[in-house]
Amino acid sequence: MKELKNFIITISLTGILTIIGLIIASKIFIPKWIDHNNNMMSFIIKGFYKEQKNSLDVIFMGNSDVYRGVSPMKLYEEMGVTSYNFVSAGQRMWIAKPILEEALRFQTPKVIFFNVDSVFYTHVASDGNYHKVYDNMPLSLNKITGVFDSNYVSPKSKKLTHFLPILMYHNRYSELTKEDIEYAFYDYSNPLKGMDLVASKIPYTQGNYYMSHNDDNKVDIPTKNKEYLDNMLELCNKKNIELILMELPSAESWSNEKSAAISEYAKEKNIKFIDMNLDAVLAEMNFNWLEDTSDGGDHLNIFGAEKTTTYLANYLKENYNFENHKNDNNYSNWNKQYEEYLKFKDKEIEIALK
Amino acid sequence: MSIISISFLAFVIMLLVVYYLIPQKYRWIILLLGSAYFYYSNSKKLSIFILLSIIIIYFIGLILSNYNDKIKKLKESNTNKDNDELLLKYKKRKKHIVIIGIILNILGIIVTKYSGFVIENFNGILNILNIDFNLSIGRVLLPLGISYYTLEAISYIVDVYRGKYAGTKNIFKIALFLLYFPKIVEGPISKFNELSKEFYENNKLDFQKITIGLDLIIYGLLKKMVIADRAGIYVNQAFSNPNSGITIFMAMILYTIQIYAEFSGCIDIVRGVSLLFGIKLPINFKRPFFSKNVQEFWNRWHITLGAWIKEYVFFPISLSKLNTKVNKVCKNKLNNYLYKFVMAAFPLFFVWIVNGIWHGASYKYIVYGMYYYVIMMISFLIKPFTVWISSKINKKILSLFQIITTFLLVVIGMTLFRASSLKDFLLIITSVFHKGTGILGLGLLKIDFIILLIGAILIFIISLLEEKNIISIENGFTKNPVIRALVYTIFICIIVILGIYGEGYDASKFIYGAF
Repeated sequence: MKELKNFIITISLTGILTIIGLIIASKIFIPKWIDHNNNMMSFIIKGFYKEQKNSLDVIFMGNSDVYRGVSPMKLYEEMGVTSYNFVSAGQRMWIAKPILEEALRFQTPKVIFFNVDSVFYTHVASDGNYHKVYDNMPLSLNKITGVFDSNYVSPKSKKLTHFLPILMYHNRYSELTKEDIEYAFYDYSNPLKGMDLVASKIPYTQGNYYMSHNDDNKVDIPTKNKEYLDNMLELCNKKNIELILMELPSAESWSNEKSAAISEYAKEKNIKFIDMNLDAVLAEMNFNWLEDTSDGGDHLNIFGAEKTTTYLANYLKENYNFENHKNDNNYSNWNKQYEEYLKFKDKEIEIALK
Repeated sequence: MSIISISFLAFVIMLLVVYYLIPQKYRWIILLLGSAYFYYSNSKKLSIFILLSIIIIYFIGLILSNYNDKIKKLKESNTNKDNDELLLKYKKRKKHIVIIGIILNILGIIVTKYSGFVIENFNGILNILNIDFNLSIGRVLLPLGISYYTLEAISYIVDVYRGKYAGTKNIFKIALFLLYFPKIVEGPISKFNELSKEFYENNKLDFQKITIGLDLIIYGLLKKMVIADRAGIYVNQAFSNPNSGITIFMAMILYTIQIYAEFSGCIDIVRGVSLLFGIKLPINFKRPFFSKNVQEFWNRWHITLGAWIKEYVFFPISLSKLNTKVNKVCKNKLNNYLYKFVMAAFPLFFVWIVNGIWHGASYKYIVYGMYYYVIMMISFLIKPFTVWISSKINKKILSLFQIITTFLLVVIGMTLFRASSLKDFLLIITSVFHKGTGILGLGLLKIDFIILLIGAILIFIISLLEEKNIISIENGFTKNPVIRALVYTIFICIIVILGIYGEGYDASKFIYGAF
């Protein structure tokens, strides 16, 4: 009997202490995706969970185009509406779905904008893109189903590392820095609200040439991606959230054919689709491909992002009645964070000018 | 299914649950089914070899037992001339049967492990004789654990032949003895009667045994994953390129550490897993680097192999007619000193030949065996001198000198073991005396050397505490569950953080697993 008692004490104590030890080790060893090289993905994902529950009016979803091309703080500046870019780089639909599910676990926004670029991607994304999301996401059923989604192609043993990242990153013992310790227990509250703000300019010089040349033939939404999109729409409908499809200016990947395919889908489902690549919209935004992109047409810079955000703000003003939170004491933190955002923006512009 | 894998962990947990759920009497059947599954999933078609061994030793055991009974009855009855003749006839037949049994078992290992070596030598002889004919060498895969279970199979039939115990009438018990999954990959080499007691009598749920089993598994994993595999990175790079001086010397030292940490670590895991089922397997290592001479080293290193060779090679040769003849001749013609030397040298020659050949099918391994044989014989010859000089030196300094000397001799032996050929070995040894390029840049960083050093010191301290009887891993290093939990936590965290695993790394490859 005494042996059984000792055995139970040993196993339970070892279990508890080991889990604590490995969670701490995971926090230290996990790469800190906190700069432009890693699109601030730790700030984007962890920052979302720092937002007060049910405090967001709008959520922007999608791929890297969104964290570079939408400025939630600009939206706040325009109309006092709270929003967040809950997005991921190189996004595929099978990661978009768990992100949406996670978003709706904590927030009940009126509107969700979904950038549809990833709707056309069926090929495997790089492992890093999954790790940057799942390694930063807390444990939940959504995370488990997302990690084990059959379209996420990776060995099971590797997928398990999303739940205990130390198993993946233990080899970093030789490259640990002070930063790894400092940011292991950091408060990831994000004043940029999920934006990877860059001010550098590398022009795209061919105007709207890409719309007629990126795809030569008719493009269809891949079946499996359509299923994910249907599911996402269904989920939003269930919660009375309006899902708006959008496509930010993207000379690298967008085309008239893709635009037509999404328009057809939106029409079929009776939902709104805003294509910001159309000549009329670009003109209305006063968009300039020579000034508003940071990498020759793939992603926007802050100047482009402010234009698209203003355009979306106008759309929201025209179609919805949002409360302005600027003078709301419950949102006083947003005003402080807005100031931080402005400082960050100025600094980035200053760096870019050098 | 490697023993260091998630699938093996799941396999053991599932087996444990079923094992302890059913009555004690039938538990061995679960072990047999699990072991058969483990073996088949690793060896597939090659399982035929172990199946044949099971069938052969089962029938040979029964026949030998039958003769033993007949001989016993004859001895009990009145002695007359007819009975004596019958007794002689039975003994002769028994001998023939056991020899057939041994040959049949060895045949399996010759076909799989030694066929290349045999054919190569056969062709060499034909070439010398100018005969224009060559046998081709096909690639033969090695059935899992054949070097280990063949020795166990031989020990069973020889023990039955010697009348130590009767041959079992249950073939499934033979199957479990050979197939038992924890020991099949790297031993320890076990004996039928000892293991049977464990399988059928000592298999009740015992939390003390389970706790000690966990102690061994965690310690073994630390040795294998943190130390052996880290040292292996340097060793592989250093030996696969032309290196010299300190670079190659460090590789020799690290290889010795690697093989010890890996082999003893694996045996710890194996014995630990077995203890979870309540089955105690024999000890295979007893702190070998505290040895003061090479003979002592081999009494502490791969103990079950040494014990097997002693019982089934050394004793039969020592008691053979040939040895008796040598004894007679030498006693009359040599002085006492040389007589003792020859009487030790004669049977030991066969011991070390068998030891060498068991390790592998090439002349390198024969030389490996002979290397230790020659050292032992030289130390025997110079014993009067070493005894005299020992009396003149401080005991502590002498002990330290002996331990270091033995370690260096073992390092050379291990280098021979690691070298791809004898030529390669000589090249390595001579290159030690040339200028090296340093030890960094061969896969390990400075911090890895620090981890290795701390790891080696940790093993040394644990071994020293065991050597001084302050702790005993065999009997549980502590009775306090909180201390045990703290040690487990520290060890598990070290393994997870500093273990060598992950992408591009295969933990399943054990050096001794290819035997």
